[in-house]
Amino acid sequence: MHSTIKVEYLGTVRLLIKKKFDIYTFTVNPTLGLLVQEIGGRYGKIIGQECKKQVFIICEPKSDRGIFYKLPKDANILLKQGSVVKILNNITGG
Amino acid sequence: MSLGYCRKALRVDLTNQKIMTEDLSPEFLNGYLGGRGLNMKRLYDEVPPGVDPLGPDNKLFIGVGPLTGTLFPGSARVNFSAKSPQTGILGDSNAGGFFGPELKFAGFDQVIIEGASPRPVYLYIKNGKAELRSAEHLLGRDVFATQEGIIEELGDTRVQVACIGPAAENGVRYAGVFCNLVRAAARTGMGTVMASKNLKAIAVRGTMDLKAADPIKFMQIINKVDKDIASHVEYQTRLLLGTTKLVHALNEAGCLATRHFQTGRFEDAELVSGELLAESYKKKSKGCFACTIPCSRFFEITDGKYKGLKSEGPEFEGLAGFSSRVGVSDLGAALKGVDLCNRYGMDVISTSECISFAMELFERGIIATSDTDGLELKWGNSEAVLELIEKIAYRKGFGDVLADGVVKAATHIGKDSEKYAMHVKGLELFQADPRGLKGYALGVAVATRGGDHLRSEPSFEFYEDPEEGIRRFGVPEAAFRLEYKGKGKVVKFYEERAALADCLNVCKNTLVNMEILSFKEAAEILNAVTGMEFNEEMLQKSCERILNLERAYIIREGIRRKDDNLPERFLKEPLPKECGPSQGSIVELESMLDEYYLEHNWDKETGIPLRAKLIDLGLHEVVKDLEERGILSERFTL
Amino acid sequence: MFDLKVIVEEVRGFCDMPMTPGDYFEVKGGRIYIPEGKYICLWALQSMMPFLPLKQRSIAEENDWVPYTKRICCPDPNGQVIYRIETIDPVTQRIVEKEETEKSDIMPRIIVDGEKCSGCRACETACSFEHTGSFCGENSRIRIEKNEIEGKDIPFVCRQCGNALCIQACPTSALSKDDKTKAIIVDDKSCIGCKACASACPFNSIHFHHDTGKALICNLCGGDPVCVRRCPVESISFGSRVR
Repeated sequence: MHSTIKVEYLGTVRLLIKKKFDIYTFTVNPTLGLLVQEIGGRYGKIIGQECKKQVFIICEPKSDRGIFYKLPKDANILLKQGSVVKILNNITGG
Repeated sequence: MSLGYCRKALRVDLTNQKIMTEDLSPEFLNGYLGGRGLNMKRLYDEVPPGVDPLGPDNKLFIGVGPLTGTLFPGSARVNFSAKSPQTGILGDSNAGGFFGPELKFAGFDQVIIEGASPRPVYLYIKNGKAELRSAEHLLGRDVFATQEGIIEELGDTRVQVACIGPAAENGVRYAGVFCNLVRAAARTGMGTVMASKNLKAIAVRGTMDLKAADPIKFMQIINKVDKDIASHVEYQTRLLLGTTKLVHALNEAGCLATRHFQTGRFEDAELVSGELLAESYKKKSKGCFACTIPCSRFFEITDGKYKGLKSEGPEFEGLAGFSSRVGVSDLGAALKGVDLCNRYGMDVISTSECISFAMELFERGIIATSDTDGLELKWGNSEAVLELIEKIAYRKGFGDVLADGVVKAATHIGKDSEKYAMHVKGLELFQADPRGLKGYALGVAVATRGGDHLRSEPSFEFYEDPEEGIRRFGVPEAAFRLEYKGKGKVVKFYEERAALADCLNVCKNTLVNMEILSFKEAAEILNAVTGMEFNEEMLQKSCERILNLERAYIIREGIRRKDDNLPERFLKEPLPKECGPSQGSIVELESMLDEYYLEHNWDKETGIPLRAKLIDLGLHEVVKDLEERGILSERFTL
Repeated sequence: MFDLKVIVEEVRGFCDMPMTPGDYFEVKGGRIYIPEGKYICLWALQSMMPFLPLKQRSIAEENDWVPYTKRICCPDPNGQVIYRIETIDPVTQRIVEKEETEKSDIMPRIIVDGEKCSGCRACETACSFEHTGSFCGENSRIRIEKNEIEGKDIPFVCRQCGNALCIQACPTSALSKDDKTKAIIVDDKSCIGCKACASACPFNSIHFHHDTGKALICNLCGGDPVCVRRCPVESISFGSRVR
């Protein structure tokens, strides 16, 4: 069984890799940490590092409500098949 | 030759067309540091209660800080302060660009404008001297044409201009002072004050030396600051997106002001996002003076109805103000809205609040086309929005009603519309929904210039690091935006950081949001630049002194705890379902206020600073003044 | 036979056409194609004309210098427009690469990319602080000319011309080239502030000290320019070639 995760890039990561989304496929349900490792593998170390500074919103299938996560503390969160993960910058002041 | 401070102020008496210079004492500079601090001290001392903000007795103070004009990244800021015609209390606003540094190179830390000129004039400051020149030919010109006209007239492209546009001349109460075309000291109506004095612009040119007392030490600290900035978590984001990053970030969190704060989620956020702007119209990054993390941008619209529009900007406040806040999904229209405000010389936050307020009233049937000169103020009607901006700037028809700010507009309209006016103390709120940002909610409620986020910017509440919350502010909740505990402490901390930034006159992105430069490092760099003796404690205390002086000023103008409040919607109406993690949020303000006053050592019931606190900060004259006015009674001897 | 694409790679001098980096034309078979609305400098074209058929040949011979040579300088000594000739396989449309063996003897200097400049003037401040101790950019050797309405910010700094007109123009021989860095050095004792050098400079890159009136010309800080280190957007760089 494969697990596909859609990753939507927003903010800094989107501008750095010049892409709005990607589909990642895994043989088992990956953790958030593993997903970020994959992104780093695909786009290089700098992008991987930048991802670690971002906020992750995980939206499970059939749920309309995303939950916010951060690295490194949420690296072990398991991503279910069909989840959508948004990567975007933290709010902080403007 | 100056070391950090020029130690001189320029006093311009417009009524008598007299110009004098004054020496600034080391005690004054030590105690009030620079820019905002120097201005606030003058405002308290020279503009007593009862002064008409638009009369000749009001004064406009322009201040820069000891780091302004140095190599310190973003040392570009300049503060414009006066009694505000918009709020009737403390007016203060600051701008980036190149005006502040040029003022330092021209030899001044502060300019005081008093009286009112019988004829329209502009002030030209050059190398320690100044003159008043006729501005008859500049009247009615927009900000861009005014700056162009002055530069042409003076024949020097390195002249820096701070000017007002037609909105200020027409008496719009939220008109700003604009430097370098779009660098606006926009809030609290400082442009309106300038117009009331018949002063169209200030042009400045300086070639005088500004040095550091210990250049080697100075560069050592700069190198450390450079490293801290370049290795900061936010470095790339600020560089690529600046504050426009907030459209998506706030929207995903469910607190992007949408259709006048009726919800926190805008379904078309992508269409007006900073990301889309960067991918489509952005041509290059733009920065203020000496900035190593340039966050602004120059854009040119290459398609659609607004094709050909090019300008620098916008910031998040303008971008969201003319998109989500008014329900507009067209990036070009939002950019056009910001551009119009820049050209007319109006604050984008107050303008967009007044318009979105009118739109909500229209949608609710409280006002109709018969009130709005036929304008269909429906959500998303970008043409009506743009037309209304112009009507406000020229006080035409319905625009005249909105030109006095949302409070006066609500009074004029009546029909219980006041509850829809999104302001604190008469100053309109920015485009983040306070319900989803409790620390910001508190900061905005207590800000000394009214409903404003830049007096504190408590970014810590986004870090979601409970251990850091405990370490820095005693409770884990401090690090979470939807929690209340610890926010009094957090806000006070950031108020002091903001005061430090505004006094050194450097950028808040780095000093406040990124927390670059600790108080200790700030003292070191000040010593290296000025050759004076600052230390960490003194600096921190000076920032507190300035905050308390500001508080005393607004207390003297009648502000009390009851005014440290938020619009009813934020206290009672929960954020709707689509707001994701912020769904169901309201603001429970009172407990945060209690904690905040306690942190400040202010009286919990009235919000008046305790006598002991004021004395501890060396504000003896303020104690005396408030006592004589019967404000500081025996009860406050604790 | 190869197709060719001839691209303006760099403008080291002052080209009054003007040709700008990125301009190009293509040679396909016996035809020259110029993009619509564009043009090519007659003098540059005529000087490289004999070379073009040579470059079209697709025979590979040892010791043939042609495949290894792909840059041509416009004959106008003031222009110094560098053209790069790319050979393109007409079938795959790929560039056929041959390593260039010629060695550049151009000393590194400050290279400007005006499109990127954020206009912050950190370079001016850094330059002035390094050389005079004052932050005021008035005594800086690099200047940013700004047009805020158009959003144009252009750094003006000495390009260390090989055939430096300023040196030739100086009536007191106050200007010379540094032996090591090849930077133009002003001898303050000889400089009389007559501004002849500034009039001769095609790049508006010579300024004058506001107190002493002496010429201010970039001396490359001895080989590690502070302005370049300070630039946050890589609008100015230190090197011998535009990347």
